[in-house]
Amino acid sequence: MKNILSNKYLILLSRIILGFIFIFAGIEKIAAPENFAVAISNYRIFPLFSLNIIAVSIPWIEVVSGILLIFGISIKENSVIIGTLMIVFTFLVLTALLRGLDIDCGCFGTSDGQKVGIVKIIENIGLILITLHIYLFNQNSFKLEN
Amino acid sequence: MNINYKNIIAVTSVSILLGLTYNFLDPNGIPIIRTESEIVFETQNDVFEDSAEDNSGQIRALTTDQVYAIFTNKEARFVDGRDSWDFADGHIPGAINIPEYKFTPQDPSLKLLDKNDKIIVYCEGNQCEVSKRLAGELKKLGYKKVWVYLGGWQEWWEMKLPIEKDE
Repeated sequence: MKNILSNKYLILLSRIILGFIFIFAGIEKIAAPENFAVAISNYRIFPLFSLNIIAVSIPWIEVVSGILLIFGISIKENSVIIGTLMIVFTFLVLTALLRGLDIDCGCFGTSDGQKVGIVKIIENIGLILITLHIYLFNQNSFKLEN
Repeated sequence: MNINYKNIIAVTSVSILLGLTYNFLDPNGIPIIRTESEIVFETQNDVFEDSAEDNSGQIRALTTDQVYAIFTNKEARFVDGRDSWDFADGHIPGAINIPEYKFTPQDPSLKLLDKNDKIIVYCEGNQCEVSKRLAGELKKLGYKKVWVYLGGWQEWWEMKLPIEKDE
């Protein structure tokens, strides 16, 4: 089992999938920062003054770590960054769900109207598993020198 | 675990720096410290006096009395920012429903409004941010004469003012 999971191609696949999802998600939010700030405010967790700083920072972390992950730069570290983001996001979606907030998840800016819900949590868990795959089983993966 | 924490800090810091820089240069950029728009109640006499100043940082709010007077004189268009189910259950007669939660600048209901119209936006009542946000969105799109009826549907209903329902 461990040999399968450590397979270079499988790891590369995980890196590409995760990387592109994060790059895409980040770009959508960079394109519409106000929408993203409003999406975050809907969760009613962060103080008003901090919303824009968060809205402006998170997407770039997503894009940069996504790109680095695809190119195989600091794979372990970027999987930690992405994994941490995913855990925080999932936690936020869960708390919103439990508080009965019927809101857009804001996962890709606001454009597509993905709602907070069980489905979103399951999707996120899937992404966390992919991140874990990379974190635990990456050994000598394909890197930039190809 | 052989994690290079410096790399994590470096990636995060560079990303944030890129974000701040891009935001600064972006015409769509947002202020780093978010503040609430100031709510200013319109004084009785000048509710509809043409004001030349750009009040985009302000939300001009109206009381139920003022709103009812405007309603009876048919001086303004009413915009209901709640979702379509709440709207159908009861709204201010003649109001247009523009659900804020799925509002985009391409919303077809905007065709019913003229940029020079006087517009009063309301939502559920005092606690809801929807009317303020929708008013802000409308102002960004160039509707200059936008007011918010903070009391909203709740107050209108409690004062037993005329309502309209959709079947």
